[in-house]
Amino acid sequence: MTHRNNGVLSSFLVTDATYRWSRPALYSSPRRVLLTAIALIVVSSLVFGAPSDFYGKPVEEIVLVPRRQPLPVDNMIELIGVPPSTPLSAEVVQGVIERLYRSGRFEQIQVEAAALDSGGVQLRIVTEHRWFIGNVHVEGVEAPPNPGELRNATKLTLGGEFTQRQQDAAVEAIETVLDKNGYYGSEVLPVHEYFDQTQQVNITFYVRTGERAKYDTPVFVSDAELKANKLVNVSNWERWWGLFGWKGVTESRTQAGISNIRRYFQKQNYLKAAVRLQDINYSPDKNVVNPHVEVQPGSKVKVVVEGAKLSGGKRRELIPIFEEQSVDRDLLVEGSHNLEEYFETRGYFNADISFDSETATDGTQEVVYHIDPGPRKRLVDIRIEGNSFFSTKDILERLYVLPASLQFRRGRLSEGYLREDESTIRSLYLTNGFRDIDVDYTIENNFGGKEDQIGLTFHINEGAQVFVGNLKINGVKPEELEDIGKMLTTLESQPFSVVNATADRDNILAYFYNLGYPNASFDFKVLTTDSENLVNVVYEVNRGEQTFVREVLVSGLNVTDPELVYKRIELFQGQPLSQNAMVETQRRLYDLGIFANVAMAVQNPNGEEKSKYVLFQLDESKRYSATFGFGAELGRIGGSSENLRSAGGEANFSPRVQFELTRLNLMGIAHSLSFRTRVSSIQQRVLVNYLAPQFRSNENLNLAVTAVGDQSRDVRTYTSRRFEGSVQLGQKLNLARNILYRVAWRQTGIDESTLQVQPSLIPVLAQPAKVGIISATLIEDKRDDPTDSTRGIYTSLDFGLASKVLLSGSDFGRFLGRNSTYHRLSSKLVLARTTTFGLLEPTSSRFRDKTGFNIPLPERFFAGGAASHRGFSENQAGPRDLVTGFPIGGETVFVNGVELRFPLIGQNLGGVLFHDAGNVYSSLSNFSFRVKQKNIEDFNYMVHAVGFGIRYQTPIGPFRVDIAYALNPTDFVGFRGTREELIDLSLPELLARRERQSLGHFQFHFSLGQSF
Amino acid sequence: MRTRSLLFAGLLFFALSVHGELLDRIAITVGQDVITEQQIYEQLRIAAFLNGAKPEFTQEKLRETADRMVMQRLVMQDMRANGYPLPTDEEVEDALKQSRQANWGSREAFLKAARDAGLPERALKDFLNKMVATAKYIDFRFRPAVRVSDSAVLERYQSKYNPLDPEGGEPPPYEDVKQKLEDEIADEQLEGVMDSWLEDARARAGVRYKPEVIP
Repeated sequence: MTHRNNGVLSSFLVTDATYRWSRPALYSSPRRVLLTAIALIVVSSLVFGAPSDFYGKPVEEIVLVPRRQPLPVDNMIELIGVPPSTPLSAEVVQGVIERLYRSGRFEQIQVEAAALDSGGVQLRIVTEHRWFIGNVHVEGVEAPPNPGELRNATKLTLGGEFTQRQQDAAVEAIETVLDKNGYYGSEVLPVHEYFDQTQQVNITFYVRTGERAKYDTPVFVSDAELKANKLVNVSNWERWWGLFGWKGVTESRTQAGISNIRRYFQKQNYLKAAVRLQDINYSPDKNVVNPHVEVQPGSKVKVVVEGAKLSGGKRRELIPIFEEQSVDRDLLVEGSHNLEEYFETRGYFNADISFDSETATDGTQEVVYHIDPGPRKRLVDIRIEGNSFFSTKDILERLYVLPASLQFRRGRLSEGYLREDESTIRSLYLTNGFRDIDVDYTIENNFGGKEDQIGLTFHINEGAQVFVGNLKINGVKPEELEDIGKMLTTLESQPFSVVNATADRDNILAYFYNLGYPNASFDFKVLTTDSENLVNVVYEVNRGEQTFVREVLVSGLNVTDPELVYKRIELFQGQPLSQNAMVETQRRLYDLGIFANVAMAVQNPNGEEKSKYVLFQLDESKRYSATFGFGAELGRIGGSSENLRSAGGEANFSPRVQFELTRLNLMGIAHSLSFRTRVSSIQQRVLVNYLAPQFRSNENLNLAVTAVGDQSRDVRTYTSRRFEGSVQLGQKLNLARNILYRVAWRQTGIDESTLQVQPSLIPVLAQPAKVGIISATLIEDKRDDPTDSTRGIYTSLDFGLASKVLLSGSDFGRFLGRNSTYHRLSSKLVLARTTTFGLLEPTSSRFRDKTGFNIPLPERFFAGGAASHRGFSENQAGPRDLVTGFPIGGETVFVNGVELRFPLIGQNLGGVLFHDAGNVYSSLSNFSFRVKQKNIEDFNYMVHAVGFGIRYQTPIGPFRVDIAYALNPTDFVGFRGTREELIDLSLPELLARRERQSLGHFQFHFSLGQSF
Repeated sequence: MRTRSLLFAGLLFFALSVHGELLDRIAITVGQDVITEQQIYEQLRIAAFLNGAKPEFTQEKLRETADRMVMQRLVMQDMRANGYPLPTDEEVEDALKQSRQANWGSREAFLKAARDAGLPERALKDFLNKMVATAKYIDFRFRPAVRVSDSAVLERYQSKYNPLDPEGGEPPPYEDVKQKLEDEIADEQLEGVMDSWLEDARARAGVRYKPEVIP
């Protein structure tokens, strides 16, 4: 069979069509085969003793066996590299073998020769192909260990060569992990799935484990007398202190047990206690293990600190003998340095630390740290001398040492910080061409004539600045130079620095890696010139061979639609193998949110072949996930529903429980269905959400369909029951800008028995509100950190239209806009401001009625609280019922907040000063900046509040306490009595029960996250 | 059992694929490099020729030669990685000359013997090139790690020339044998360092012998 390929070799290379052997015939007589093979080996050995008779004859034909080869024919021809009529020689044959082997695709290559009638030679290249590792799975084990852990233990690397030896080692490793987890005598059976075309083999290790072994009485091996029962207790290997027998064996439990025993001894000052799992004796008949634990408590070590107070926790943190469980001079010296550093950071800059270590007669080793803290001082001044290229301000703002301030009352200074700052200044100069930069510092005691003050001066000797005279880049094509030029940090006539050259190296190499040159290398030379301040720089780039994508192989898809994955792959057959494209593909697959692991690799990484298979091994996430959450609200959210006296709310605490169940990757198309509940004393909510992220394969679109059932008392005036269905399409316009299109239909019913308003309004306000609304929200978020912003801008604009076309009971338009900006005034001060404006406007006059309630009560604006106007407690701003004094919301809301944020003590505690102004207004026409309440029935004025807050940084954002003082709090008419009385009493009696009430000047708020 | 299966598979592969004369095949892989069966035989023949002996194609000799070639290949790979230059033609010619003079006297006699043995001069030079390169590189790479202390030399002297040994005779003066003992210890140390490097390099490169060629 002749391959029709271009080039001279097209009729020269033939694959084996005639030498195919018959499998069944051979298998029928293995003995005969073996004898023949041995005979051939003997003959072969004799032949190898001398040069072949074929050498010197021209090669006229090449046959490949088997017919199907792992590389394309063109590639094979190139690798074989034997043009027609080439005289055969040992070197030619060895060259063929070497080149083919270097491709990495072959396990064995043998070359044979046969005479042709023409007098030439037919070369027969017989290959045995190599296998590469594809998907690796371990099945049949109840966690722990989990499948991922077991797979890692196999050390079978995706895309790497697969050998029997590796597999044997993998089986052994799995067995070891299983043993450690109590699955003794497990059977591990590797099953392979071979893919001839790609030479890939998927391996599934099927495991049969049996029952997990349990712990049994441990054996403690020790020279000392031990309380075995106590040690068993602390090991925590028993179930309920032994009442229910022993726990099942797991590796982590065994390790934890050993650690617990060690900790037990450490607590009793046996710091050098050596606790080691000597053996874990397995009894197959009972399926239990008896851990043999070697315990050598050693001598007691007592650590005494003299001359200063130091808590036990600090001692353990600073003196490493606790952690290292060993006492030697090095560790004691390290402890001494740590203590010195600690006292320096607390203002004892001249602290003197020494230590003694003695062994008492009872064998106890006593380590005494003598601390002479010296006088406590303040670092009041930091100066920079000798700088001319950088300003003092530029240098100071990079330093870690700080002079005394409100935040650091003694300043921040220690030897460690000084070393870091010296290095910072040096790096700053080095990156700007000052190769001979020298930095030093001096500390001045009794600074300014005061004993408790010190000053610090950094002395800088800049030296000469060196510039780049000429920059030459070798090994780069002219068309590539433009791209590379854009990424260079080393530029002609600019300062020279090795740091910049290193950055250039990284950028240039990344550039070539992305063009498919995985072996690209970079070197640079700095050549001196006649001028002392000028160097020439030469970049040498060696790009190596370009590699292309042969095909992308995806494995691990069980339920996911493959099309979903293929659409996100950014690597294409025949294109250069770009690392960026690989990483980007990985990111896009992770972004689907349905894969627990996306492993990627290039198959046959060391093989020298032009095009390579790119492998993606995907692990689908568990299809169900459940989360539980607990929380609480604290604030003026309470008050008896019977007694109406506290219309302004009473301090109360409301615990909250949340539960969420999500079904991921619905129908294999990455959609999800979530069920969420949230229950607290003021709100009970059930929500079902169907989410289609990357809707219609567009990464910038998502579609959510949501149904909500909710009973809420967050507005204290009433308890509402809401049922809502909505469809929302989210569109990402760019990194910062999103737009949400939403259609919602909701019905909110108000429990008439909870409505705290004058009886005449109850029939009006208790009407269920049916609203069908279409809305769009534009969000632009350019904040540096959404949880604690220090600069940037955030804007959201929400427009909605409720209309009878959408089956709405009322027609109205809705607008709610918010704009917040954040400004860094200095390295410590941040000024933040926010303005919220909202408007509800009926679009049909038929809803205007004499009560003035143009918009249904639950749809009206309510404001006030931690995330709104802090001069009010939760939802207490704006118009109120003229008899009961409970808030009834408004049609316009305006809140403006300004905050000055600053650090308070150390790194984690900060403070804010704030001013909030605004209110909820009955209508836009009644909006006013007026600060004075006309009378107690007037709520259309602007309430101002100032206050102070504390922020404590936590990993999930700042914990917040705000105390606000309302300068002009709202007074209103309240009702003295119960709700029954409100309903039953006659009008004169009602009027008689009215009393003047006030929301009060002080409000407090606890919350998580900044207020805006 | 597994070895037998592998052997059988190898034999089977070989037997099934043989059609004409088997010219060559992979015997050992050293990372991305291969050593072919023919190369091992050639090396064995050249080594025997240069030693003035007849080649022996026994399993032991084959294995011994293969091991030496693996070591050589690992050293060459390390040389390439470190950019160490190959020996010059003069250095190789010197080595060849020494061998010629030791066994054959004249260049003509040497060439005739080589022709009779079927060994081209190129193959001999190539062999010597690798030998010289390996020897030089080992010295360059590992000799600096060798440190022989005076006390070690003295200890060796005392143990080797024990005056209490009734059969030892009169020990030579320390200064006379000091250099010889120092070289002896240095060579031993060099061998130790080299062995440990080799073990590591073999593991890193993943050296694999094909059982069908080298059982």
